[in-house]
Amino acid sequence: MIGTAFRLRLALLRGALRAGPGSTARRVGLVFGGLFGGAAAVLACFLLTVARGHGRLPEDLAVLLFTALVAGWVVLPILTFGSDDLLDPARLALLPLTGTEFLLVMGVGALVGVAPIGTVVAALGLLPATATGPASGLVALVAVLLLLAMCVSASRACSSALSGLLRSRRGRDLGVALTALVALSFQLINPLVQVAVRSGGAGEDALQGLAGPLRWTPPGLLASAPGRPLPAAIGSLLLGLLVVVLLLVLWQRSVRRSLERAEVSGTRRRRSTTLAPRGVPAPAGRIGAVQAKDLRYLFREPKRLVTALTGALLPVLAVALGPLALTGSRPPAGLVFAACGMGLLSALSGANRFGLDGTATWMLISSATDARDARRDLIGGDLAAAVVAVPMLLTISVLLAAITGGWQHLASTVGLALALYGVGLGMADLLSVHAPYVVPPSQNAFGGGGAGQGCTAGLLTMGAMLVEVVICLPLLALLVPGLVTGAPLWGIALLLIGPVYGGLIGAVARRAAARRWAERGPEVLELLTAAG
Amino acid sequence: MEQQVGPDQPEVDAYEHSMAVQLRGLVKRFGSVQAVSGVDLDVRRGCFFGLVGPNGAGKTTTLAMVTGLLRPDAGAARVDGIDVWARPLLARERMGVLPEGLRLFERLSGRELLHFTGRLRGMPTDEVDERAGELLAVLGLDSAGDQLVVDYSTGMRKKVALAAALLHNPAVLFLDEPFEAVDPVSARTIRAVLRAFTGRGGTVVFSSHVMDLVERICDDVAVMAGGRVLAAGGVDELRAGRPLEEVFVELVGGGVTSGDRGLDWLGTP
Repeated sequence: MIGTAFRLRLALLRGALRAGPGSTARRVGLVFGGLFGGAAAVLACFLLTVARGHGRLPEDLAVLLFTALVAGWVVLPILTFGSDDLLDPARLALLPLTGTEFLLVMGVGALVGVAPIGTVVAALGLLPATATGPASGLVALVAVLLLLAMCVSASRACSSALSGLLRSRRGRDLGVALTALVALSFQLINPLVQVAVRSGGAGEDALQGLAGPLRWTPPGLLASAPGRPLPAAIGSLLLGLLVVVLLLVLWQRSVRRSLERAEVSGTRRRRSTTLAPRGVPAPAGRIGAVQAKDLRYLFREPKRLVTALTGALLPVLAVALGPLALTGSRPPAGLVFAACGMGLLSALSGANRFGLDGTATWMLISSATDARDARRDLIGGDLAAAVVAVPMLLTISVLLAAITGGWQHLASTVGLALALYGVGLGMADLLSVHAPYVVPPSQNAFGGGGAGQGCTAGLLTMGAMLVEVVICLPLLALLVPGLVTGAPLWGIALLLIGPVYGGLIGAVARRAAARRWAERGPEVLELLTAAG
Repeated sequence: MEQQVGPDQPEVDAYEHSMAVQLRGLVKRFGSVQAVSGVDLDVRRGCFFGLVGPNGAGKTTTLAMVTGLLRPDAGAARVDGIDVWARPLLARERMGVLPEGLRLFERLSGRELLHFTGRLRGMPTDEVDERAGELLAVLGLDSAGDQLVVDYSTGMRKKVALAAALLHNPAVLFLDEPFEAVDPVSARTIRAVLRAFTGRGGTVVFSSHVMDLVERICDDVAVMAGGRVLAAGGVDELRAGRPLEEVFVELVGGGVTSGDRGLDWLGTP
């Protein structure tokens, strides 16, 4: 049974890497995941090793590491549910397996891969870090093995218990949204941690404060076992074993329950009587229809929300919070101009509009009965994007001005950002029509881009940004004198002229894109259908 | 069906006028695969027309080319007398489409989807409201109208897609596999709606591989295989007293295995 399960797992891994739509992205993902995970594991092991002899430091580090590993094992499969065939008991439901065999197959699935190897490598650092003799060395070794068992059983017990929810459309949407949130929060955590470290007083005290209570959690007990007197160490290991056994029982139960219970799919009703979300001014006709649809999608399809958020917020977070974290003091006033980065980038999150719509694009093509309909499609989409992005851009500009005290730059920043945004919308229209690519209906919000297309799309986006910047260069004639003389009139002029300039250039680009969309709609659809 | 166009001009006009759909030499190739190799077809006005054929016969590709969703490599398609690829905007106004394998905007509710479709076509809001309500009620989607289409069953999807295709009251309906995976009750509802549509002069062209159904509801039928039309004509004329399935299998050339050869072990204890 174990051999069969092992071969099944390997076959699934091979299958996942086989050529097909998105295989390049998967391969690259696996290679990078493997390299990154491997490096992190080796680094963790190395840190533990060099911490040896620094008082309580090695044990504290080990406690944190063990707890983090178990937490990671529990959370990650929930976020990436569906990417691993051996995670979902329902996928194995048709195989003639008994309850224990079920756990064996799923367990082998969990034990073969990058994550388990990395876990063992990282955790093995416990040996050099805390072992003082053969007895404590043996205790450390057993603790590492128990940790792996704990990781696997806790992980699978949780994912099996939640499998019903995770299989449903709503659950998957939630997963995508959570993944995005986690990724975004990393962007926030990183500078905050840096600020904390820089402000001093952190370091070992904080580490001890954190590790103290965690020593008494099951993984913490395992990590601290080698440092305890032998009877207490054995007791800790036995407690760990007991937890593993309990988790196994829970796992088996949740597997049984998930196989017996019928799937319940959510059918929440929408009480909307109009197509457009309330409170959003919507033009009549086709423009309004497309705008309303896009806005509805923004909040109903997590993929879009993620695209919009990462496109708009990440650059600002990275640009604005980075220096704040590095210098630790009030950032320079000129940092207000970081909002221009958002103007530059956020429009381009709509650069694959029809790819995001996917094959549903046919509804736009087959209902275009007026020569101007193609342009209305693009205007509607741009309006929907602007309804969200422009207020966000204004808010962030004001926020940055408040943080930096650079109020004198606010007007020129907003003018320049809106100019870039206006041009960017036109660029996004052109890219949407000329270089659409398939967005696979994957669960992972960051798994966008078809085979090899992600790279092309990335290059095109970079090109579009360059064009935006070049087109907006003439506005320097207003910006530079303002910066040199400090006279507010220049900024106000830029605030007034910038958006008009960007809007006009964007409109010209949109017109060209619309001509192409009207003529080549079927070709765009064919491209989206062939690969989808 | 495969009548020759006469030399006399007024006669030609009269003939063309009586046809809702005319296909001439439609060809489509995907890479090395010849999906459709020269399809000629005429569909009378007010006719319930079935396009039948095995999987991979080229039905979907043909329908996509007639409906202006897929550009043919060669050939022409006229719908309601309008050349689909020369004057696509005008032609699209005359037709309603239910494609196969293409998604809807599924993150809208059924009602929102119909509103969306109506407004895309520039229909006045109150008219869309009224028609959407009626269509949802007739198709039994009244209570599911506020549910997202992504949560619909296959049958419900087909029904809401049909409603979207009917909303602007087209002259010709093109439906690709409208009865696939649809439960008998829904299928009966769809049939009734389509019958009413043809009864008032509308034309329905639909593809299917359920011979029973085609035999029962179609006036005319065309059998496709390997990207060509093998036979076309009135259902009764084509089957000549035999079940349509028999004629179909004979035309398509799929030998019916009796099940005597091989599989001896099957069913033996």
